[in-house]
Amino acid sequence: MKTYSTACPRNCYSTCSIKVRVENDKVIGIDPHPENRATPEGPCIKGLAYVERANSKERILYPQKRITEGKYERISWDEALNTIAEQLKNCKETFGPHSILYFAASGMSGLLNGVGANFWKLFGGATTTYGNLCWPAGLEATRLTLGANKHNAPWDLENAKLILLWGKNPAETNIQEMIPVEKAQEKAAKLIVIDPRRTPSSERANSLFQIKSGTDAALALGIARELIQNDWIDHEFIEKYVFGFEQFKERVEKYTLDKVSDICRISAEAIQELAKEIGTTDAMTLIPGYGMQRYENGGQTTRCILALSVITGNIGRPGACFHYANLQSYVFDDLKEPESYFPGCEHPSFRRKISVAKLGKDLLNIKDPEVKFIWVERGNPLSQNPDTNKIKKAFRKADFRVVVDQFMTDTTLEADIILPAKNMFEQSDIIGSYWNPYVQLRQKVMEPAGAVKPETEIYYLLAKRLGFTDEEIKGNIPEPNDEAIEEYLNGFLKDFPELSLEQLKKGPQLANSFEEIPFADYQFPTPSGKIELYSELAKEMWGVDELPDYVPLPEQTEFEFQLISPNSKNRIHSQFGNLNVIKQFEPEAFIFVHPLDAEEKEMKNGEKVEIYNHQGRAEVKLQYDMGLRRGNVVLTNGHQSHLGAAPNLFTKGCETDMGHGTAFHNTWVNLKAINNE
Amino acid sequence: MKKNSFIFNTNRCVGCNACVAGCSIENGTDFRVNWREVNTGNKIKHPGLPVFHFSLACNHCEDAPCMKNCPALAYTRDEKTGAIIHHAEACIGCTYCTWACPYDAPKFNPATKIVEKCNFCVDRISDGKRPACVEACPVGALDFGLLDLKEEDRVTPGFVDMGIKPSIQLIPLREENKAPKVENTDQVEVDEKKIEEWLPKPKDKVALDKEWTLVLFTIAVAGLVSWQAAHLMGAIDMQLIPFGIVSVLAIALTSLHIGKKMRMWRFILNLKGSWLSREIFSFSGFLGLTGLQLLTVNEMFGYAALTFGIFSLISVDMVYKLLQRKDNLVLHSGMVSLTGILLFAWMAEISILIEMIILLKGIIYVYRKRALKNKGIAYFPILSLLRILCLLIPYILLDLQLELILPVSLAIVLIGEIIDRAEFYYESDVITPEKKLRINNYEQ
Repeated sequence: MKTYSTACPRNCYSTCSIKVRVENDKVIGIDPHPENRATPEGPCIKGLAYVERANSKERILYPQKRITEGKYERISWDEALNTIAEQLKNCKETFGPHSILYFAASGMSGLLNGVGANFWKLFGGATTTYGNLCWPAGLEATRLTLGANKHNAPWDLENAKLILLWGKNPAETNIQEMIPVEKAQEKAAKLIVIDPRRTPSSERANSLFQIKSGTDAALALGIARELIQNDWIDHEFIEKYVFGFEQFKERVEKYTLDKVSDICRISAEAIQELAKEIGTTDAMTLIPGYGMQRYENGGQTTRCILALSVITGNIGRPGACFHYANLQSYVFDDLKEPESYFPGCEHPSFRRKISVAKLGKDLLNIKDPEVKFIWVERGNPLSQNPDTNKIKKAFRKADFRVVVDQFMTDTTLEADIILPAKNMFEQSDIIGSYWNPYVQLRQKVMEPAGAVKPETEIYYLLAKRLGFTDEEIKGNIPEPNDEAIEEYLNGFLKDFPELSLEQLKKGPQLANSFEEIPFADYQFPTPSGKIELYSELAKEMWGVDELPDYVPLPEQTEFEFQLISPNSKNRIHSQFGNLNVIKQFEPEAFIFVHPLDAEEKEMKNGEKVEIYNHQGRAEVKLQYDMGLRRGNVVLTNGHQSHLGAAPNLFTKGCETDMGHGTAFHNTWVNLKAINNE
Repeated sequence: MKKNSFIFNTNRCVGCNACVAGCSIENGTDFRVNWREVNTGNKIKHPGLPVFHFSLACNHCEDAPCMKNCPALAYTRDEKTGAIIHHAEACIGCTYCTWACPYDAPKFNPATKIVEKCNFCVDRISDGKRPACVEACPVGALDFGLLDLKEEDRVTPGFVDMGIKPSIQLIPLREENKAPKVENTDQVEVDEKKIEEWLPKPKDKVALDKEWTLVLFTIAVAGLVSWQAAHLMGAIDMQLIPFGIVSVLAIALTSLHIGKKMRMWRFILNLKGSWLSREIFSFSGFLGLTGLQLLTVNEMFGYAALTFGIFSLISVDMVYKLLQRKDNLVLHSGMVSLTGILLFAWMAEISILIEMIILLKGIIYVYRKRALKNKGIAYFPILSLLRILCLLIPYILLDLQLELILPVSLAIVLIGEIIDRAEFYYESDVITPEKKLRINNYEQ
């Protein structure tokens, strides 16, 4: 048995360092890696589930060819790659390279993912997507205000005196954050949660402000008004480092207690109390989640919330920060998120005209050329991008589809050819985290199972078949061997003497640029050099108000329930849900409904009900949840429609107000009892 | 005295189930038979109460009821670590330990037909490592250490403290986490009765549909012993063949209830500690000696058999002492000792005994039904009426000199006894963490 240091490469805050036990080329155990100060007690249940995931009989180990709908047959790599190469050549000759869609998502992080883009560039370009499903509205709001997305080290949270979880539920989505939360609480810090739901995290809180979903900005502005009126603000900080305070002060004037109470559906006294806690506690860490910016007004909402940290001077001090995203470990990126999501920064050979938020619609509408060939890797757009039915239609409109994945998904079921994807143990790569500050090596610990080939090798073999010259391949696509991969990675490391593969193989490393308390130097890389409450750039780039404001969601009359699709502890998007270790706790999707809402519709706990709106319909079992606001229903993210109900059957596909994010929660549905006989 | 203990901090656990996964991966258990479970209080999120969790496996109690009650001596204590170890090769799959444990630690595995249980990761802790569940907890809610445990370490709502000294320290919720403070002007008061209606029904460990074999077996014990006694007094005939047939049927019924039939002999290994062992031992002795009595026509065998028979009736009733009763009463009209006396009185035609036992059973029965009714628990009035009639009709007819032939009157009496005995199982249950965490149970 051998033990290796590695790290979990999922699209998750925690990015845990783990130790993996390997015996006879088989993963037999996952252990904690205490050297990572952010995840010292080890990974969550999904991390433990790698033992099953790596050895699962369900895994796709060989190239597969579609026989009929839902039926696939094993083929050789030669057949698979020759067919794909043939299709690619034909498409390029007949319709041009832009008739090919290269779609890659966040299934596995790593620097080697860049090889895909290199391949398509050498191919002559392709059509690609812009924007992001997750967090860009908040990233852009923070970038516009503070100039950069970074926050205090995760372990600094224990120095906070007030922790404000605003729409974040770390107990499920960033479980190790609960360690410093608890440490702070043991030192008498207060924990306050603002969320339309009662969550496992709000159970730990002193109080939960259960506001109406999508009204967060109004609450923030109402609190700001109280802070200013009661003089609970940091004059010196504002004076020195804040741009646009006077205009902001004027803006919040109209957000009176009564008005905000009416919008957010919490009492005026509650707002006062919340403002007092924020205004009179030294050292507040404000932790917004990514859910509350997945509304059409998400960017402006984040700007409003961030203003609270700004006017109280809770930036750049121990225990005090705006804790949205910490991109400090992304040291190798020339262009950081969210700017890398914006169209215009790509290589000119690409056509980047499809918004991830509107994937189905844009794909159906795109012309000259239409998309004929779709390549999907590290993603499951049929379950994760909005409006599944439209995406399905667009996928079926194309002539040929290749999907690279480890397991069967909503998307592989649309593929003409499925290629087996490597797992995290089968190829080394370097990853960062958007929460903890470490640069980590996701280490190769075993040879690929079955006939699995890492994506880099697939591209290499395709490049050969497509007649790319050795000169072109060299430096862009590493040869399929471990030495070439290490050499490719070393290419990134050469500018960072403090980071070496040797060191990274032992455990997580910090880059020299790491700051435990960012902004402690009060340097804000904004146009004015100050924190910008007033941002001309915001107006220029996104057409929103220069000042943060509350923009109400569209009035709803047609559908009764607002559907929110938060992340569950049991999955990272659509990954892990297929494993038995997870299925024992969540065997299928449930729609969570307040029992009073259910009774009005004559629906009962455990019964199947119908959910529908203009985008889709599905049947799903109902579960009572008294912790919901009436009128809100919940279907957790990551369920797949080929297995039953999935939230994206109902989402519309609209972008957020800034950052080209995705407004998943702008979704309304109806529920109907069905005959359960 | 310091002992190896789990330490569970209710403030830290968020119910992620990593401990359960860690355990099953380490021990290679089936997902349907998890040795550790996360029990949740207030899953429905009652607005006035906190949602909290207990991650529980075996607490390796000092006075471990599983070990004490196991008839087959399948449990031992590892002296070095204090772990209570279950030995698969010795287990007969009778599931009596699953009734005895208030923490739902022993789990019956339908695939192997025996029980299995957390072993404290005895190999790991002997090597100085922490148990796999503790190692797997990502937030430090579940810990392990050498502790001198006190009474107050076990005081937290929903946790059963039966005085069996479980090796676990529970750190209860901090004051601010005990009652959620929620701001929401749209929140409406919900009637507690409604909430009770919405709660999912907990699973019953002892359920009549699973235990019907035991209903028949225990009635058969009462029948055979009373028959033998009446025969010994010369009141009634007893032939070897019919006695043999009923005996074989009774044994067949018990064997239906255990997983490993070839190990049935292990049933009697724990005469020192387990009433179940005593029951099976004394009943087997009774059958054997009665057989000898019938074969040899030697009365001495008959008296010896009767002694064993009476002891087996007492043992049967003692076996069920560890169950929880919905009525919380000490005496039950369906106890087999009472059934045995009633059947004996009928067969021996001792009218004073018949009258007294009918009166006694009737009173206890009515008293219990009233208790159930007052607690709002289903008490089945029509069935009760039938049960009372079965007790009274043969007696009234006897009184009116309208004598029925013995088989008919006995059949009527037996129907009544079966109803009573079936109700006994229906109204019995085992304490489980799931039941203890029902919101009406831990509200203070």
